[in-house]
Order: sequence, then C-alpha cells, then structure tokens
Amino acid sequence: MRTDAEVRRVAEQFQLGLPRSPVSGRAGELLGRGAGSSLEFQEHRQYLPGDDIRHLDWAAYARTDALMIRMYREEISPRTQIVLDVTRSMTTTGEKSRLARQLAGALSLMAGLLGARATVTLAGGAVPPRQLQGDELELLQEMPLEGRGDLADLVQRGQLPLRPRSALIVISDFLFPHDPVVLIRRLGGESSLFWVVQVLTEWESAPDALGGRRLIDCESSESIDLRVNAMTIQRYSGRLTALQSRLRESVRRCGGTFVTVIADRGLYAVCSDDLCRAGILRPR
Amino acid sequence: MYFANPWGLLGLLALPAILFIHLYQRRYPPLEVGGLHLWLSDETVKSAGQRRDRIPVTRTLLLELLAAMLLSLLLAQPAWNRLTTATHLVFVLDDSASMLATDGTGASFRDRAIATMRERAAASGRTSRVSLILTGTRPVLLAGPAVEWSEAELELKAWQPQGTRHSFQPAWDMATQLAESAGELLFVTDDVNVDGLPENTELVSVGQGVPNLAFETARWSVDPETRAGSLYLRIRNCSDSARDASLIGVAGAQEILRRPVSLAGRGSLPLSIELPGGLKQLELRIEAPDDRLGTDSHLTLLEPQPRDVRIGIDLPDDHSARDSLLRVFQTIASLQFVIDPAEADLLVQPLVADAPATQAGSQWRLAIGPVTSTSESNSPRNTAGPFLLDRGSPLLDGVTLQGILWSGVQPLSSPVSPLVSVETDVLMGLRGRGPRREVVLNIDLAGSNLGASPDWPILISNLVEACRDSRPGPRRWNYQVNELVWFELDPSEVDLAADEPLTLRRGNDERALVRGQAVEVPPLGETGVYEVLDGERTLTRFAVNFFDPLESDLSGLEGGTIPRPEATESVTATSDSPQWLWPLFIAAIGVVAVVNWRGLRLSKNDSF
Repeated sequence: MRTDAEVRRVAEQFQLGLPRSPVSGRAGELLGRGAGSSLEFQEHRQYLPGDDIRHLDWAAYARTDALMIRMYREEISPRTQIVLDVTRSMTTTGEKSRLARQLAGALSLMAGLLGARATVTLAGGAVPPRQLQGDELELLQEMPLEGRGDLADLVQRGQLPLRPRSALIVISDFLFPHDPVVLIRRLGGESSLFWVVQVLTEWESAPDALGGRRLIDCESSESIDLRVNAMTIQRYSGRLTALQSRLRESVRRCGGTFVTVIADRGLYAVCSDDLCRAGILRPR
Repeated sequence: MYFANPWGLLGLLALPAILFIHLYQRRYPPLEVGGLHLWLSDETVKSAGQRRDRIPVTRTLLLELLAAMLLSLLLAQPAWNRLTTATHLVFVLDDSASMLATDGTGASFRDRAIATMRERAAASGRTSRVSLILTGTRPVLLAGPAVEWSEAELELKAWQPQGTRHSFQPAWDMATQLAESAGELLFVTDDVNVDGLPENTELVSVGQGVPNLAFETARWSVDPETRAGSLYLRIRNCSDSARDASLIGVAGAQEILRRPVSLAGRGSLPLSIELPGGLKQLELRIEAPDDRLGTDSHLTLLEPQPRDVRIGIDLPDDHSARDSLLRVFQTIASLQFVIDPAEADLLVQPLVADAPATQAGSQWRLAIGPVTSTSESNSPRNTAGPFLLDRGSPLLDGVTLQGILWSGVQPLSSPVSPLVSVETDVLMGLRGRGPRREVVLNIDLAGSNLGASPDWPILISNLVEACRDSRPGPRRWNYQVNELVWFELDPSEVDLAADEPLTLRRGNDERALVRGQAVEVPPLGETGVYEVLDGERTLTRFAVNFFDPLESDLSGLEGGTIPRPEATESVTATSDSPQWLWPLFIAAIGVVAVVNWRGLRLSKNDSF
C-alpha cells in the first residue's frame, strides 16, 4: 500500500489515536494499559505473594507499616490486528472496496510507524483466514474481495485468530445477518484496544428511490423484487440505524469505538473527519 | 357502437396476459446489494412464478392495459353508424344459361358475377345488406330481402343458371320495388348490350364473346311396329369459324354412338340416326375443344313409349264419311282399329239430330252426318260460308275452311257448343260436358268438298291427337325447359281421392304436385330426368333439355359497365367509422407507448 499516494499521504499526516491509557503488547515504545517495568510510576497496591519484591515500596512500608508494591506503567510495542472484511458485500461499489483496502493499508502503516507490528487478517475469504504482514500488505491493493464467508460465522466458529490484549481494528460493512451484541463481544472482548469501522457506500447509508429493482445479495445471491421507494427506504434506514446503534452500543461496552464512514467521500476525508472525530486517528 | 371486425376484440385477451405477467413475471433491473435482509419487508415481491400476490397497480401496468385495449379496439374497427343506414344493394342476376359459359381460364361468367357482387358488397361496408333477384319470366328472390352478404353467398353456391332467353323487365321491376328509394340496383349479366335498362340501375357485364356448339333440335321417335328408333338431331356452330366435334351417345353404361361431325362457321348440321329399340334412356353430348357452354351440348332423352289410339267405326258401310275417314286414319301413326265399340278410344258414329247428350266417359266420339233423326227431319241446307271458327279449340288448329262447300246442314235439337258455325247453324261442335265430349260434324260429305280438302286430314288428325293426349300417361317424354308438362292419370291405377300430393322428383330435389286426373307440371327451368311418384310408385318419367338457339349464341357477348346516371347522388350509408378514428387510435397508442417508455426510463425516480 505504500505505492498508494493517498495512503502515504494519510499515513504521513495522521497517526493512530492510541490512548494514553495502557494497552497490552510486547515491551516497546508505547505505554501499556497494565502495570509494567517502565519508569513511569502508575500506582500502589498491596503486596501479594509472588510479587517482585524489587517493586516493594519500602518507604511506604515504613510510613504505613504495610507492604505496598509500586506499580509502573508497562511499556509496550502494541500488537495491532486489523480485521478486514473481504466478503463480496465490500465490493458493491469500487469506492467501497478501495476505501476498505486503503483504510487497512493506512492503519497498518500508521501502526508500523509507531513500532507496532500490524497484521491484516482477511476475514470472510479463505479459512483459516489469511494474514498479511509487512511487505505482504502490498497485496491488499490487488487482492480481490470476493469472499463468500460470513464474519459472524467465522467468529462464532472460532476460526478468526484474535490475539488477546492486542489493538484490534475491524473494518467491515456489517451488512450480514448477525447479532451485534454477540459478534462484538466475541470480537473485542479480549482486545486491549478496539476500533470498529463500518464502511458503507453513500447509497447504502442513505438510499434514494430507484423504483422497481431486483435486489440481489452479492454474497448469498438471493434475490427479491422490490420497489425501492420512500416507504421501503424508510424501513431499510430504520433497520440500518438500529443495527448501527446496537453495534455502537456493543463496541462501547467493550471499551471500543465504532464509527461509520462513507466510502464515496474518499480516504482523506474519511480519515480527517470521521476517524479523527472518533479519536481513531489524530493529526501528527 | 358496433364492431365491423368483432374478431379484433380477441385482442382483449392481452389484458389478462398483461395482468398475469405483472403478477408472475415481473422483471426488475438487477441491483447488487449487501445486507439484503435489511430490505426484506412487506413490499417484497418474490421471484417470478413462485407466489401470487395482490396485483400492484403501477403506472406501467395501467399504461400497458390501456395500450392493449386501444389496440383491440383498433383491430375491432368500431363504428358508430346505426345499422339502419346500411347500404341496400339489390343485385339482379341474369339467370340465363349463358352465364355458365366459361372463358379461356376456365372461370365461368357465373363465377365472375359472384365475384363482382362480392366486391361490391365489400366495398359498401360490412353493414350493407343485399337482395338477390334471379331474372326470368317469373323472377325469383334468391336471397333477401336485405340480408347480409354471407347469407346471400350461401344461396349463390347452389345457383346454376339454366334459363332460356327471356325478358329482364320483370326482375328489374321487382328490384325497383325492393330497392325503394334508398337501395342501389346492380344488374349483373353477361352482355352489356341490353335494351330497356332502367335509369336507376347500374349494369355490369361479366361476359365476353366465346365460341359454342349447341343442340338445336332433338326428336326421338319409335316405330310402333318394329320398335326401332329414329333420332333426328340438329347441331349448330355458334361461332364464325368452322369446327370439328364428336357426337357421342351413351345408353346406360354402353356407348352406342360416336360420330365425328364438322360444322361450318355459323352452320347448322342436321343428323338422322337410327337407334335400336329398348334403349330407354340416351345421353347425347357434343365434345369439342372450344365448346364453352356445356348446358346446350348435352341432352338426356327418354325413349318414347307407344300411345296407340284405338279407333272404332260404327258407321254403315254406305255412310258418306266412311271412306274419307278411313283414308285419313290410315295415314295417322299409332292407331289401332277395334271391332268392339266399347274398347275404342275414339268411336265414330252417325249423327242423330235429336239424340240426347251422352256421358262419354273416357271415350271420345265423333258423330258425323248426314243427320238422321228419330222425329221428322228438316230439309238440309248447304253453305259456303262465311264460317265462324272457334280458334281457341285445338281441334281447329290449322283448319281454314277456305273454299269449302259445307252441305247437309240440319238443325240440331240437343245443345251443342259450336266450333264452326254459319249464322245460327252449328256445323261442328261439342256435345256434352267434361274434358271428353262428343264431336259433332253436321255435314254430309257426299255433297261437300271438305273430305277432299287439306282441312279434312288436319281436322281428323287434330281429333285423333286430342284423343291421344287425353289418354292416361304422358303425351311426350322429352320436353324443353320452361315447357308446360301435362298428362292424365289412369283412375284405375291411381287413387285420385287420396290426400297426399304427388311427388315430382329430380335427383334429390322434390316438389309436390296436385293430385288429380289431369296433372299439370309448371314450367321446369332445370334440365334432367324427372319422375312423378305416387308414394314410392313411379307413375311416369320425362326428360327436360335445353334448347335455345338465341341463348346458345355466345359470340356476341360483350363485357362492360353501364353506370347509373345519378350514381353520385345515390343514397348510401356513411362510412363505417369516422375517418379521424384510426389516426386517433394510433396516436393514442403512440402516446401511451412513449409515456410508458419514459416511465420505465425514469423509474429511478419512481416514487410510487
């Protein structure tokens, strides 16, 4: 993705909006969410058998006569896992599939710039899902998004390799039948940082009337004849809004962030507006 | 409103077809989406042919239904005229036999005439009504009055013109009466040269000059003694060039005659042919390449049966009329002399002046003078005329009495209907009543020159033939078309008091005849062999053939048209439908199609 000028531009202007709070990961440049061995003092707590006695605060013991352990913030180099939905629904328009690739590429580049190892997991295609790292990320640009799998099914069957305490970024349209509560809990329950980016096209977000159409599900190939009119759009929008609300609520419960981006707006606008506003990115 | 082409309404079947298509076969443009489940709602329409839902009333559906209805109406040709304004075409159709002549292509003038009438009826619109009148001495209303052409055409299928030359005036009069003031009269014939065509009548001649060979005369006689037949024929060539032909005679399945004949242009060829007895029926025909009319080239003749008249002479040997009568009787064919007066068909007796009228029964009697009387007699007188003759009596056919000295005239006491009289004296008359009466000759041939004059054999021959004609059975066996056929039944063989009429049969055609001792068959216009039946029993048979030299001459026929002088002012119906109706329908269908197309094209903005 480094060949994509738009991705490079975004990666140069924005960085991952990792929180000041600790996150998990191997020892590195970023502070972890848990206690660690860095020099930055975090807090005290009571000594428990097995604690490293090197961290006993003897001064506090002298003052309070209680064994207290000095807790230091962990310094980590965070594991960043980007789950990219590669099912056919991500290709309903060229803008949608391109933005999804660009987002995955840009986020992985940004994570790399922070010294984190970014892994892009392609969910919905081959089983087990293919994972791209390092130079393999360039394959994203040409890789067809034609999986016919189902992210929810993949997660439910445990076929999606999720690393606990990693920074997890999920890029999908979530336009597949699923229970958002269950899916999100299984996705982000053990992650230390959880961002969910829903990519939709402008028409998927706010469809306009088309008259009679045969709607074909690009993944299941099921079809229905439907008059896309104000009434059906209203019902669709209601269901979509309800889905997004439940996704947002479920993600929040996992301590994460949910944001919906419109692919038609382009990568830079998405990053500078939607993702920055959501705190997923911030300008350098 | 009515529909000139009701079959066009079958187009309305497109309406349920369109509804069916909209129900089961809707084909919306495809659109790939993700999250199809978010679109599932009450408005979902299942795929084609799976389930029937309520018909969605869309703009497209309404426009397509409208277009189908307009198209159906267009095909059905709606019209708003009332049927009472339909044109009444009165066709006067020449029923003469020449209409059966054919042209070089094999099509007959009859076929041409039917085609002409069909075209004229079609041109007058489907609402027109026609009447068909066949010409003839007594015109026939073949179809009508004022029926649809299809009905008239059915009648025409069986129409075979066989009439002899006749006047068209009775048919024209009948047509004028039928047409009244609003009908169109069209005379369809085979010759444009017609005299006396009414002014309000259009003439269309479908004929043309063609060659023809025809029988002019045919007479079959049988020798009563040898039973051998003698056939006299005359064949006429009705064209300017000489022609060769074959004369063929067939009796039963056997060909008994085949003779080549050569006829000069406009020539007539007499033939006398000896025939064996017992043939019963003979079919004669002329075969020639260019003989265009078959009606007059074919004859069906029945073998004549002997009708002998039995003569009884109850005269004294020294009677003055005896020798004169015998001399005449011996020259007349088919006579038998009987001794018993009761067996005689014609009994010759002396004239008794004051004898009462007798019931002759089936017997004819000739009472011939000199008058004898049971009372005192008057003195006879002679006269040379002038004679007063009853020309209406067949007994006096050909009798002139020129230069006759009538002698021995005496007063007759019994009532006598005079046939020949001088002043108050009856010289010849009929005594008694009924068809068979006693012929009275108040004469003394010994003093008269009548027995030596030409009138004498004529007079006696007339009497014999009248007696012969009154005998039961047909007088002749072969007749011409339109000739009166008359015969008497034998009361001993036929129940004259029966209620059922007699039957006249020709092939499959039958008609009733009034039962009576004298049977009269109205003039027959169709050739063929006729049978008179009493129940299933055949009483007699006779044949009718076509002889008409004038009608057989087809060389002068000429095609053409004589229009009506006031054709432009004829009263006809207006056109079936307004002229603007068709463009209006087409324009409406076009508008509907365009609106529907635009609707489909802009369906993206459809906000139904």
